[in-house]
Amino acid sequence: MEDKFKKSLENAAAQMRKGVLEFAILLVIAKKKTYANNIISQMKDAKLTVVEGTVYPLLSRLKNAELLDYTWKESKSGPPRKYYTLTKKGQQFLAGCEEQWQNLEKAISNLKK
Amino acid sequence: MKKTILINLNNQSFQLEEAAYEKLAGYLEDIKRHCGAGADAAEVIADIENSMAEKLKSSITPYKEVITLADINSLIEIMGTAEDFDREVGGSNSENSEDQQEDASDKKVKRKLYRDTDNAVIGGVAAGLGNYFDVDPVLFRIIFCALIFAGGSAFPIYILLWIAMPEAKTAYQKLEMQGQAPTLAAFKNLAKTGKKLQENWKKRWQKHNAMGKIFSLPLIIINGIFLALRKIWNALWPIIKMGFGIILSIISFIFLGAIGVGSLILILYSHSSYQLSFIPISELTNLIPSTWLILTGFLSLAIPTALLLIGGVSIIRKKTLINFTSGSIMIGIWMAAGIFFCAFTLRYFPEIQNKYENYNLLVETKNVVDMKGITEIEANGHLINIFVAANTSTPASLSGRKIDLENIEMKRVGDKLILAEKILETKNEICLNCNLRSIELIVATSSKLKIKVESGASVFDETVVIKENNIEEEKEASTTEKEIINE
Repeated sequence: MEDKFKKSLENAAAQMRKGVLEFAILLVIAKKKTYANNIISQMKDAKLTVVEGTVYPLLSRLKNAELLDYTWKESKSGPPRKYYTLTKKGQQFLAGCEEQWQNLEKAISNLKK
Repeated sequence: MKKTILINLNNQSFQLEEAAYEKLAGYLEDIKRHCGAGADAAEVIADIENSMAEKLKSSITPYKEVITLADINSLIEIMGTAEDFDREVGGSNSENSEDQQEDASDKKVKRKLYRDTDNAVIGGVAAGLGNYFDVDPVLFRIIFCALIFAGGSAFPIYILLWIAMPEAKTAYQKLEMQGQAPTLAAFKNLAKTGKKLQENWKKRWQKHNAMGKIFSLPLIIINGIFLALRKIWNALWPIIKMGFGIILSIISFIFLGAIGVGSLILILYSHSSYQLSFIPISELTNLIPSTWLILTGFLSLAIPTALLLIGGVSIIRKKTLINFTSGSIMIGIWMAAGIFFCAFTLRYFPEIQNKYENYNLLVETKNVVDMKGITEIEANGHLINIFVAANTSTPASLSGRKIDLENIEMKRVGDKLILAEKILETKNEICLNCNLRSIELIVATSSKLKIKVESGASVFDETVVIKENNIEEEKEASTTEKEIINE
């Protein structure tokens, strides 16, 4: 019983994260063009639980949706890295996300009252 | 000691423990399954591999060069499993991922030829061939049996295949042998199936019906015999190996020493006044680049001997004492020295031979001896041979090498010819192979001669031999002649 409860809670948390993960990634890239490992560490610093491997398929998906673009850049340590930037479409998408997020936040805080 | 596997992850090489490798290969297989096919998937996988490579690099220190299972486990925990991917990302790939999962579980890759010792009767050759061609190994066993009865050609073929086919030792190789992709599921499956040879046979025995049991009984008996033989061999092999190593080391060590000392002596004496068959060695070595000849000769003998010595000591110490690079360098030097030595030998051999044959002391000479008024010959010394020729027209002569003739003193006293060996003056030089050879005095029978031999000199009378062969009547005459000789 305890186990099942834990599992469903975990599932709910994952569902919520899944919803905001793309948003979070776009937010990080919007600040400054950067590479995958840096995105992950910034999200971790912000205390957002993230399974590292999942970032890569998401980045790929965002790129395919033409919200992101990347350029290869040499790195001092190791192989060259992909530096991601937001496209114009991406910026519009991010603005839309932010609006949705505010709406959500408002709705939840209204419900909490 | 554990085996490591070298992998290339995003163009960087890593050494992995076998268990770590299996885990990582299974993980990447799972991730690929999750991502599906296509260029995008390949890109995502490349990104993930890139990130993993970066993380693995950081877990390597000068004291820990090998990636362990624990490293891979913690890496997977950070990166997330395929299930995590499904849960966290979901989306476009999730629909077709299930179909692919089914495909992947029995995904076949190209089979590799290994000996299957888990299902062996003797060496696992037939079982391995069966795996490779995906047929029942019984087929190959029947072929081998048939070939044994038809002239026995199966025996060398079997041994050759045994040597040529590597044994499938690791789980990865066993999967390769069965043509299975190295997925996590495949490894788990492999672990479930029996690993022990006896267990495999027991299982098969239980599966067979009565007919099958009769057929497989001889196989099991042969298998038992070979298992017993292998046990004995395994027990004896270290002893044989050690003995071989010790003998090899001792012999090659002695031989190496002999080569070294021999070469040193040759070099030191090549310009001395020592003699070889009456020729001063320096006269021979002046003809040739003797130092080079000795050096290349030394190298071409000493290097293989040294390699044998290293091999012997390696066997004794159970440790390879030479690496590939230094071995290659030694073999390279050896080949170069050998080529130069052969070239030198071929180039200078005719000159040495010429010098040897035409050296004035060694030239065969023939001096005519004036026999006028000689009625008696006295020979003193074992190097003197007197030859009485049947042909009366033969002029009397003294023949032999010049050095040998110089050793003989010939003088006339009245009607007597006296031949005597001189007493050799001892020289200060040491001479190799300086034995004097015998000389030959040829006289014709016409001159009625009295021949007297002393201290080892000998007489060969051709006339006697001819007369004995010819007519019995003349025997009397010859005996009288003999009497004269022996007087």
